[in-house]
Amino acid sequence: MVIRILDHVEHASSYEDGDVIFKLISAPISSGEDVVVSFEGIQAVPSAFINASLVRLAELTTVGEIRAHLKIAQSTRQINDLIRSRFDFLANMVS
Amino acid sequence: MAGSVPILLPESFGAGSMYYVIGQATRGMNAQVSEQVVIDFSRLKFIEPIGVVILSNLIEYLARAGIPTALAGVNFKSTAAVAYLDDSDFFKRYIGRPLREWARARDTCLPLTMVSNAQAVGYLHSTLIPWLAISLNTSEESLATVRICLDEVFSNINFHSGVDYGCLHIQHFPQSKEVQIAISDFGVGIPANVRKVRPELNDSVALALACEEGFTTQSNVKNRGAGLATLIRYLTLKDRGKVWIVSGEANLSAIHDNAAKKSKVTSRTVKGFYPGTLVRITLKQDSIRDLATDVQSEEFSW
Repeated sequence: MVIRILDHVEHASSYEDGDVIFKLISAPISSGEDVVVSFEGIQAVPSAFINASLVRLAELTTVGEIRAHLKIAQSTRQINDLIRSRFDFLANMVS
Repeated sequence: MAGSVPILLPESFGAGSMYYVIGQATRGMNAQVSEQVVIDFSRLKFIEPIGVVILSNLIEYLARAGIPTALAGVNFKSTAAVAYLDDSDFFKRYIGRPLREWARARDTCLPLTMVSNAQAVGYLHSTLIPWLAISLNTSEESLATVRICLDEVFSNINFHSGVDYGCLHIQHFPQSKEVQIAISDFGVGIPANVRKVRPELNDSVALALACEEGFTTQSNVKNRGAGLATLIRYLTLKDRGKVWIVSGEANLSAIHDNAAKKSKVTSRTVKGFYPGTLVRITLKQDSIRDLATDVQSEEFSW
């Protein structure tokens, strides 16, 4: 399953934007299906977007399961850095 | 007995004098002795970008409390600082017209703007970043991280301040090669929010805690405690600039520690009170090339 963010929201800027993506990927991720989230056309995102779209997945399954099934595509350094730092933080909290 | 409270602005208005001016205005308000506040500009010779947003917030704050503000000591022959305020649309907003017919926005600053939470994303995309890109002779794309940093400040206002707008002013200083961005709200304030879940903390400790990744007041389900930490990390980890946050009886500075190659965050208690939150971002012009690397494509790996 591939979700291109800009096919579903105009900007990847707010919690509400992130919530749209979360609703698309939460069921597949929590049932162990591989999901690719594409940031094509997006240069940078704020923490509210990543919190809403991806970090909330940790309420449904483990960080390990998320890392195993969530793939990030066509992203930038800023996007990657923010996603990694948020999930590293979550992983450290539970370890 | 109610009366008029005069406030004589000092020669230089900014970080060093803001607590005195705010204290003068709010003491009268809290004691219910003010029926009007008169801000006198006659001595003012220099105003920092944060001074512009503080004055604006103060006037709006008093107005919400039903106290009108009069502006004294201003005319078209006034000082360079008053002319700067005039060119920044300050008098247009608060007395309904500019002082000088020829008042106009300067190339080095964006006029004083009230940015509502609903407008913040659009304002950053369509006004602030395009202006900053022209000022710094770079592309809008290379400033995406700056946009994200400002987004984090507005998210903080949106989720925690209890008010629905922030006041913004931005000035480019070509000689010192830096840009100062001042954003202020006179809302609840960060320490007061933190104390909803950690009532034992003083303002300085509460402010520091709010800037750590993962701390959340859970005052809003949309807040998951990363905004201020993200702002500080992007600007100071690689020495792209510095951040100063003022709220309640505390302030916090975040700079790059050259020796340790990481951010250095210092929170301190102050003898003064800031009703709400002020954020000053200082962006180094020389960091533009480094900022541009943030938006380079990179293959993701966990």
